[in-house]
Amino acid sequence: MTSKEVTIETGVPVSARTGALSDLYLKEDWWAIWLGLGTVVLAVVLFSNGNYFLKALAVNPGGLKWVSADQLLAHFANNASMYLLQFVAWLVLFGVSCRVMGIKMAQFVPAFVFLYLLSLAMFGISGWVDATKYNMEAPLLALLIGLFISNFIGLPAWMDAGFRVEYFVKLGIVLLGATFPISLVATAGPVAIGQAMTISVVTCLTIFFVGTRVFGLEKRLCAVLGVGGSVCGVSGSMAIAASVGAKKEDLYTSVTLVVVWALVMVVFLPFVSQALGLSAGVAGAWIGTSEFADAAGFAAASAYGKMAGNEDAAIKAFTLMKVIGRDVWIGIWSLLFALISTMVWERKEVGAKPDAGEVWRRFPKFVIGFFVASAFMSLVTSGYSPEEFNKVVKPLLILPLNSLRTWAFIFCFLSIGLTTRFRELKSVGWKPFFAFTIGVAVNVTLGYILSVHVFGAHWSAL
Amino acid sequence: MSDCTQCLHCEDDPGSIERLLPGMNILSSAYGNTRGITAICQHHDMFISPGLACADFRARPGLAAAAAASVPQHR
Repeated sequence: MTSKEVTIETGVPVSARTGALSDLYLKEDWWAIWLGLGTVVLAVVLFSNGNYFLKALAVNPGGLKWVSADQLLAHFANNASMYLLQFVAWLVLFGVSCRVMGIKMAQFVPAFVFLYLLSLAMFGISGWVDATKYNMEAPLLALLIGLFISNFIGLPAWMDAGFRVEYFVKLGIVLLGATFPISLVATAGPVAIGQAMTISVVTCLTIFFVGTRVFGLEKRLCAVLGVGGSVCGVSGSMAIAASVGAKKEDLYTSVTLVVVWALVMVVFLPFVSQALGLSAGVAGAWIGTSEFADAAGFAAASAYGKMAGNEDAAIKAFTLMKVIGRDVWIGIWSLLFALISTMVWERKEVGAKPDAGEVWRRFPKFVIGFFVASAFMSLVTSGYSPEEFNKVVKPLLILPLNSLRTWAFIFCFLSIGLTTRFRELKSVGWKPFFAFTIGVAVNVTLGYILSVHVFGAHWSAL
Repeated sequence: MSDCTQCLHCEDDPGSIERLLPGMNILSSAYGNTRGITAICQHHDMFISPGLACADFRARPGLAAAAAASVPQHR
């Protein structure tokens, strides 16, 4: 049956879940906010009372710079009780929230135990004094080891229950907000939005018109691929698929192309940035316009930041460009395509009735947590002089939060690899492949020109 | 009037959506806000924003039983 033969009355959605309060405990965006902001507030309360428990709990072997294995083993032996406590804290927080969202504990718990132990190993390896020399930064290492395990050793599919890529990256982004000055959001945000919007529109139109006009592909598939390749990867494709009434196969095609190209660019962009000698801020902005998915983009930006010796700048530029410049507009794109679908394309075909509520419904709520954490921590630290900040606040409040964020990200990067089973991805025809790939080429090229040549000075100064 | 979410063909459970679309959970999630209320219509094999039901609507077993039970029984 083709989509033209199907006519669904698309009235006002009447799902009980629409805008329901249940989103506050059934959606991982909100859980990322509760856990992230809860951690930030707890950190501030403990810090204000001279209690440095959180610093001890945020233990991490990544910065050890160990020379002999004995040093690493001694570190684990000395901090065994804190690692145990940290593991229990993560397990309880993630476990309870996932259970409430409907994920089975019998599957989540063993998977998360495996993930935590593997994360510990990744941090341990990346803490080697020569790790950077051999490009063994934790993000790339975690991704590649995860891919190797899932594709050459194999894990049961039910373990995906504990490998919550998006949940982990959203929590990491909320925690990132706590180390992100709100003044930077205000000053650099508009440039990021302008640059990201320009690239998103050009890339989306390129994929759509090349797909429909050059390769003769169905317009719904091209809309799904266009937004997937220009705005927000699979999440963007899913929103558009519902707006235009696309087939499940169309989204499956997008999943394959997004995953393959995102993984290629995770490896490709950091090394090309290194070869071009880009500053960490410029590379972060370029990665932010080029990568489709937050999780993959953070892996690339973090990896290059470590290579360039300034992870902070790369992560900040990436966040401004991807999260603020692209992610938050997903609802607008969805509404726009719903309008096009019902007002320009044949009205009898399936598509959602344009509904302005979509803009808020699809808004990635974890971004609110990022802004609140940023504003809250900027307010808390505003009373300290630069000297006090560097001597007291940074080591006892900011760095522990940074370490917890690093944990959330390493869970995410490993989970990308562990959930990617190439044999399960759909084989796609050469027409969708080339339509999408041409869009990727335009995206990467235009992103490079704007990040390096047009706004280079702006991003270098981060 | 019935809507898609009461239909047997409509799959809106996030865990089921991720199972029906292998690879979706690699770089996305059905548990996130960006999914909105998107569901999969298994009859038409497409992604939908649930609205008023179509001609192929089939009530979910629980709902059908409840509807039958609410009809007054005449002897």
